[in-house]
Amino acid sequence: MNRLGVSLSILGFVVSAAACRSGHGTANQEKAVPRASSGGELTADRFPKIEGKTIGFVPIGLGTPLTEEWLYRLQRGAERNHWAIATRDPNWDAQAQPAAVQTLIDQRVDALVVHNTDINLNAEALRRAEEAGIWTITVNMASSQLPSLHVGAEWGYGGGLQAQALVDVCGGQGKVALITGDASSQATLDLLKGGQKVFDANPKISIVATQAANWDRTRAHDIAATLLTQHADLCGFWVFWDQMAYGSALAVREAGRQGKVHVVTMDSTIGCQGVGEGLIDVTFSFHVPEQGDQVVDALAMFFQMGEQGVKPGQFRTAVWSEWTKITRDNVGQPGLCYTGKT
Amino acid sequence: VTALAHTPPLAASAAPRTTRTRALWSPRLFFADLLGKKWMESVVPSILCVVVGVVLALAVPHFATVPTFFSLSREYGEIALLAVAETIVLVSGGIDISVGSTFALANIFVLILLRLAGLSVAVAIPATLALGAVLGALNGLPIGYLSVSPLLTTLVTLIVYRGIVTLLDVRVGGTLARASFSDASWRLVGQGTVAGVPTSVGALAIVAVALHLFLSRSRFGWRLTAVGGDRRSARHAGIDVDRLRASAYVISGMLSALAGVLFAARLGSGSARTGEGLEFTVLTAVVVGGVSLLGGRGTIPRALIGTATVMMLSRGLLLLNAGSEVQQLILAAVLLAAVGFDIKFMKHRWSLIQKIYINPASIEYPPLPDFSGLWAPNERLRGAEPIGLDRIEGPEDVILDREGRVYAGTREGEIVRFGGEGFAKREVFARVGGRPLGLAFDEADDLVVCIGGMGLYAVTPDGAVRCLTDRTPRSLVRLIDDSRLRLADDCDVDRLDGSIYFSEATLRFEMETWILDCIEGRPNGRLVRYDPKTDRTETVLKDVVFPNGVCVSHDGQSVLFCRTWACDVQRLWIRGARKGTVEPFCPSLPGYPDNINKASGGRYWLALTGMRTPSFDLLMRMPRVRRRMMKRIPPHEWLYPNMNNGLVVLLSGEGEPLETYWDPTGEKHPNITSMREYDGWLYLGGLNNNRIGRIRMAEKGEIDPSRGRLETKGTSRASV
Repeated sequence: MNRLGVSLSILGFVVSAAACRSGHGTANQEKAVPRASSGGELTADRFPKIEGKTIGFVPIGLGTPLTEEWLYRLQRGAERNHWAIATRDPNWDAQAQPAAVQTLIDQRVDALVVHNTDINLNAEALRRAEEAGIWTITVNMASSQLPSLHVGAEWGYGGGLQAQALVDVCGGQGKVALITGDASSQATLDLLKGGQKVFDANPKISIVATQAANWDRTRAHDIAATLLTQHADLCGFWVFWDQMAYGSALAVREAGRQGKVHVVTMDSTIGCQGVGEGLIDVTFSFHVPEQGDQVVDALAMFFQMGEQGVKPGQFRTAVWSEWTKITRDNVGQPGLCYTGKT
Repeated sequence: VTALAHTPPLAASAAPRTTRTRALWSPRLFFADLLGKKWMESVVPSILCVVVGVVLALAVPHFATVPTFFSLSREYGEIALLAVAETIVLVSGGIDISVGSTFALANIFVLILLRLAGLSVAVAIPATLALGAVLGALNGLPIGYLSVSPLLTTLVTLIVYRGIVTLLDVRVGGTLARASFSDASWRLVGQGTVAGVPTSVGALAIVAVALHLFLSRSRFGWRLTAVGGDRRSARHAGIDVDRLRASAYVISGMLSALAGVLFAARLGSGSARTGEGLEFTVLTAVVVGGVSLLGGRGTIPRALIGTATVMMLSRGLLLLNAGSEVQQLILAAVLLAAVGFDIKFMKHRWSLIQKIYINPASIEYPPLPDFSGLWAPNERLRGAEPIGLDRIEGPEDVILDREGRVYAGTREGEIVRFGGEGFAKREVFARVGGRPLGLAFDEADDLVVCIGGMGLYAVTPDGAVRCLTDRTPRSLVRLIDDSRLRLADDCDVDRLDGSIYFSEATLRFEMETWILDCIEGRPNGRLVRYDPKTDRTETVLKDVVFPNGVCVSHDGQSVLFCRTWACDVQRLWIRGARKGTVEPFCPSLPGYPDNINKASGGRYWLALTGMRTPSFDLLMRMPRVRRRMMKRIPPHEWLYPNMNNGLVVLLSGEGEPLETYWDPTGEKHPNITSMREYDGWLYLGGLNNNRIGRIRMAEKGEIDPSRGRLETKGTSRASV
């Protein structure tokens, strides 16, 4: 939680900086900023909830634990704060995503939470959203247009962790294959970059293939099955998401090479299930439920800041998620895995 | 016709003195005409589009807003371009399911050119369009020249092009995503507006207008449609089918690439997912718009309408947050419904039109005259000398020139001339095509001829044919396009100003189906005037019951015209105080008048092509019986007007019948459609006869004595 703490304090700093900057504004704005009064208690009355806001949520696609969990957390937060959630589900259709974001801008929502298919697709829409005075938050998948807040796992760092775990299960040598997400998505790019450093440091590990399965379980299964027939001495797969990893692991089992071909991945629903079933060796959690909560908290802060005269686009912040390694040893530990159905 | 037995007998007291016709507005008629319109095919899609728009606007919050409209219109530009591409291919009789992949490949290609290769926008866009043309040609060449199935070919390229996109994405996707590129003109393409219109919409508008003109007005477009309609017929017509089919895919490829460029400029994402499943959306859009999957039928506006419908639908569903699986389901349902409607509509449309096209109206005749005295049959035509016996088929009209040679039109589309000793020398004077009907000579000795299905033509003395007029200004309130002349029937030259009056017998039927106009019995024809000095054509009298023979009166003050199904002759005043008014000239005839021509002594000749019968008179009075007849029995068993026993009537200058000339056996002149007096002889023509006949007249008179030049040169030029 150390990283999170640091990030939050950075956020606090940025926010106060932004507030200071706008402090030179009108008297009205000055007034809006609450100041400590003599003996004043910090009560909810002094910081009333900003209710009646509408938050637009555009994942890459619903119907998978990751995005369903975020939605669930958002809905809980919205209930608590009396906001409305407007979800637009492009259902993995790249073209539909910017259109979905655009509909929410047209609808004049107060904040947008976007899970970007790739770093360029929504950039223009996010820029327009900010121009229209909408708070923007990106989760996990960044955009080339920086938002007010990015909440997500640090893929470069996580890539290193996963690559190292793969090197470890392979005993420092052997052939490995990489099954990635969309080649142009930021997650894929950064994970690869982080992993590459580890592989560079381990010359006995050779990467025999890098294939994009575009976050799709079936495609990952098919790629893995093909690679398994091509490489009889394959040591392990690094699969960039548990949905895909489960498919790949099934291919390993079908090939009868369970235990000989290892699978390392990330995320903690199906990943946990795979670890529990012995299909997957290692998965890394990036604490999805917490990400959802962080988004909700940030939204509450943004709306209050808005009341105090801060405008979207005046600051850029990021909150990085924690990484936790999950293996057979700790998979049963409470709080590590989530269901996405809660 | 059992109904005949139940109708009350024709009461003589109730019978009118003149023919009564009715021209009531009929909803059936309107509907039949409406269904026959080509644009009718896009009416249903247009209505659907409006309904979808209105329903979504009412049902979906935030749908009918200006921002939604604008953001939708930008995407619309891209998808509609693909729909236009698909339409071109469908019209040519093919199908292109690789549009989505071509689109995606163009998208990533132009991004690579700009971001990685560092090319300028001015180079990258044309290069990408060229790539589109190449990708299209890879579809078009095997389909056009090797006759590989379009579905198969484009399925292969769908997969191959998609594979290349994925490959490029894996290879350069990362670098591509991170490479920064910023260019003002590129921004203008993607996000800018030109005169308030999003660039993509502007591009679409230009392309759509150009391609619409191209498809509907150019030779290439017509041929492409012909190829799509029936490839074999097109080939037989001498069209280069292979080349046209191939080029449709090249156009499709270029348009898809253009859409890809616009997409790239708007979003700048090289994602491998771009355009996945787009072919389905595009096909749905064009079919919903009314473009046929079977080829040969489709227009660019329909593609645009269909795209609007489908995009509004999917945007509405997105706003309702229906998952895209639901969207796909609904689009699939819409596609199914549209294809079903298209097939059903096309299958039943013409048979429905056929069923309701003829809309009988009542015609009430005065009682038949007593067939004794004046109307008593005689044998005056029995001794007619034949001219060109069995050497001419269907001389509808006959005319003679200054040298006494006989001219007549034939069924084969020729005007033949008989001259020499005993009219034995037959020569083809001119080949006009169509069906030559009424004839007249003008002041310059040019033969003016009405050609059924073509219009009013003139033939110079040396046989050169030229079109005088084949169209009139279109009337604003009629559904049927009446600007083209369908059945120009008979003409006469107004000697006083040189203009030509001619009749168009019917606007609703053709040369081959003219008799059905009688079954309908409506005022479907008109009287038209063509002025050679100004080259203007105007309708002088509309809504006339089958106007047939036309004759400018001896004094040039009025035009006489026969109304065949009304069995009378009317007079339209063209000069003097009563100019523009119509009055009866010869109100009650016992038969169906055809041509009317000048006779010597200020009189007129009138041909009755067939005689009225009491039974058919009754039928004409009862439109509902005729309708039942049409419904219940096949056309060859219908009752038709008697057309096989005619006669010639001599009318006084005031329209009084003076004499009749019969051929009661019908052996030589079973039907008489025309006669011409010349130098003491009367020449006879008949639409179905195998000869021209002539009889010597009791006295030799002069026609048009007022015009001395004509008097000496011959009577032939006087009238038709």
